[in-house]
Amino acid sequence: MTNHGFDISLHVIIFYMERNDFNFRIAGEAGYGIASAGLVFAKIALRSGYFVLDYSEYPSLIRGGHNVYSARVSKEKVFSPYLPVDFLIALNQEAIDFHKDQLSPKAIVLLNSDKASPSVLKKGIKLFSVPLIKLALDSHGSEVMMNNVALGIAAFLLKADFSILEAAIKEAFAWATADIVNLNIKVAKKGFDYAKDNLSGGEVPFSLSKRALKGAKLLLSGNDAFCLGAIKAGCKFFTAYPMTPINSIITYFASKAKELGIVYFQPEDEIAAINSALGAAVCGLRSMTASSGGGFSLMVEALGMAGMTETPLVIIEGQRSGPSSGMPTWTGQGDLRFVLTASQDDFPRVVLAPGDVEECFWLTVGAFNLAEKYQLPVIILTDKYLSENRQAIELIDETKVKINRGKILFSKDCPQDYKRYGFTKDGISSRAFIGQTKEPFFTTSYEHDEFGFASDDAENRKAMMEKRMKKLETLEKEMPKPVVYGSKKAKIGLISWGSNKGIILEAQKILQDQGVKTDFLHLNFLNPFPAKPVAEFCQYRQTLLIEQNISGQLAGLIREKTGLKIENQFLKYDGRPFYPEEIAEKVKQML
Amino acid sequence: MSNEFRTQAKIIWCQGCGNFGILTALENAFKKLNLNPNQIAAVYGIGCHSHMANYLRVYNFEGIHGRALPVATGVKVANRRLKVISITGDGDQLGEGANHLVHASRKNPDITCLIHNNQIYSLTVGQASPTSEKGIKTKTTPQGVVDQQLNSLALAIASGATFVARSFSGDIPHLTKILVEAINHKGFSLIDILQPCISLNYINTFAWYRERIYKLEETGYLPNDKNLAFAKAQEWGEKIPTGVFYKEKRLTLEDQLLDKDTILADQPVDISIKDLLKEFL
Repeated sequence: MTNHGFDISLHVIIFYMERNDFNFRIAGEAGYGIASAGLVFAKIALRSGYFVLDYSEYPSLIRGGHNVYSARVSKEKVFSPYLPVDFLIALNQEAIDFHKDQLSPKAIVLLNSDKASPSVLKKGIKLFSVPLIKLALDSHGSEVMMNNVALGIAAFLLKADFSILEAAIKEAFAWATADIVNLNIKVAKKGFDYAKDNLSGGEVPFSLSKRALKGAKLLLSGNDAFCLGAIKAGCKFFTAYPMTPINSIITYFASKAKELGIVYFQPEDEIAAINSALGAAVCGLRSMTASSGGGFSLMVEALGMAGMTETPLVIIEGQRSGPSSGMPTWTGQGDLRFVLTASQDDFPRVVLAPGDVEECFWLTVGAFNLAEKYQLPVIILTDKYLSENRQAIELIDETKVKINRGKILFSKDCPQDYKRYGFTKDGISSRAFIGQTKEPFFTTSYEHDEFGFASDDAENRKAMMEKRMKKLETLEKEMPKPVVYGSKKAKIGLISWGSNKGIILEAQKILQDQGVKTDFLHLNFLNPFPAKPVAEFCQYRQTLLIEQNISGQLAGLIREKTGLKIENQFLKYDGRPFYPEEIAEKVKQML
Repeated sequence: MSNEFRTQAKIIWCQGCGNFGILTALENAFKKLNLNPNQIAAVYGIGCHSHMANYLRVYNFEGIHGRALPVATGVKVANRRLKVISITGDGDQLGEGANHLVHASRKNPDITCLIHNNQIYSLTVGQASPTSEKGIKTKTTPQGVVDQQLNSLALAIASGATFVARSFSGDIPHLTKILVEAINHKGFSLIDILQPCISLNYINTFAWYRERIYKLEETGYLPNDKNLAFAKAQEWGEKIPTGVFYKEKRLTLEDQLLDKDTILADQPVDISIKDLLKEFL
């Protein structure tokens, strides 16, 4: 059984080939540098002038841990991976066995003959059988360097400049001694030269020959974009307990903290993480924590405290297949309803869901502004797919970042009888920081009066509940309308949220080529919920709802907020992201 | 009598509660240290102890049960100008919060942690706490407590705390002295404060403690030997030692995270990420 139980039709492949897209894949045993080879390949593609979007799978499929890295390369901007593989590097037998059925009709296969024997491949597929380990050892390298031999060969076959590969390897081994760096480059050169001498006759129908690329500049994963967005927004305090898929956020903050004069430390658990982040926030720091659903479960009690004490906080929740430990390295969107309602009783919160790497950056900046302006927790929902996969995007223009800290009160303006929770029309009180006023003030998780003293007076309770919830009403007025992508007079409307965005945009391209017009409503705000635009989009027409959970959590939310029931639902919950091809098929079934 | 560290709020502790002594000793200690109310942040868990958040005139943050220490750590790292006091109870800090005690001891933030130890859950009216003595009958242990009594001092010493002490809320001068020393200690300090609950604990009363406690400093004990301190921390029953059990110098969490004299809360929000972006080109 393959890992994508989906039949691809030939016209889809032809569609991509004509677009000069190609799909690169390297697969092999865990521990053989699949991920690092992937990053090096993505950099070669970007720096040779191509758009790139990559996707990694690192499950334990049968044994030994089979790792797969795929990158889609194109002259045009691409939004999601696709299924057929055009260039496969198979480092071991499993790699060829698992992926041979996914090869496109004119695919190129580079097979490690030291670990795999040539399989029977479909006619039209070109096979290069090369002893990758032997070549690594011949240049005094080690077995684990076979990935770089393979990259050297791929660079030659794809007409890439060796100097670009060399620079990318240097960066990949920035941590290592000069000897190790040089050895890895030598091994890659060995592969490059071997291909020049032995494989020169092989025609490859796509290439990485250098071209000028306008636009694509940055190669970022969703997690990279969260980090950059948070740091740009002024996040000075980040604490999070390790958990897939947010670990690379931790790694980045930990590695940059000293240089930037900000703080990351590893807490004993997620409860400590969120409580410490709140402690920093009440002192005036823009502060953040992150986890997956399991760790977020532990944070839930303190989430309510953020609501009650009106403390700004940004929480990144990276979804993966649950419940419980579930499938830790696989994706999903099953936590939507959970984050919307987590913690006891009602309090205002914002839930945002970025759809791609650029949105990860800009929504994180926005999250910090909303958190401070409305003095509440903001949850950013991402998932394994969006967090870990890289996408080439245009250069981020940081001059467009605007910082809005809301109603902040500094020492000189703070009155003697300062009311931290004073009643106002918009529900937002002025906010002073612990340690930065003449007169100390009070913060409590108990219901409290305007000064912050604990109070269970009935009138006060009612007014305080209404004051807090009022903030969401105020926020709703400035909430942007969700964006609709696609044709104006489309027959079928697609509606989804979060990381499905790029996949649906690709599906729309496929459908448009086949004369099927669609439009697509992409939701970034899940709370407050843009009920009116959603209702207008869904009403009186055929709508397909697309999300990655078994119960149709967004569908339920739409029903709750608009009264509308969306009959057509395409739900996926096998841990794999949607592929554009399967969404296109689903839409065609509705015609 | 004017007291700059006391609010106008009406105190709702029971008449004669051991918490009064702790409140007074804290106020005395702050005065002795020449601190202003706006130089002190007190973070609380939830329990009878945390009512103090309404009485003590300093920055108060009353959090959730067991979680005062992580909040206090965030406060200290954010603004190390502040003296940070974590005010907790035995159920609070040693039940739900025990893990945070272990790790605060390891991390060594400059925080003073008070455990108001009345050996019972009082706010919820009389259940067994981790420090309830074996055999004691409570609402949750009608046949008597079966669990071994938790030893917070030994736990803190074993976990790497750099200042570990015990005092008694019935001896305000002693408690004041210990508090001054603990707050002056640069690093994590833990004080187990024997605090009788007059309404729910009929065994560990003021009189019970007065018969048993003695002062380590009057015996020539020196708090510089970890093994000796650990052994001394085991003493409980006929004789109960108070005073400083253990003290050592070690770098604090915030001193390791931040450059000297950097106050995180003073840093500008807006920074350029131009150089950071270069790594992704």
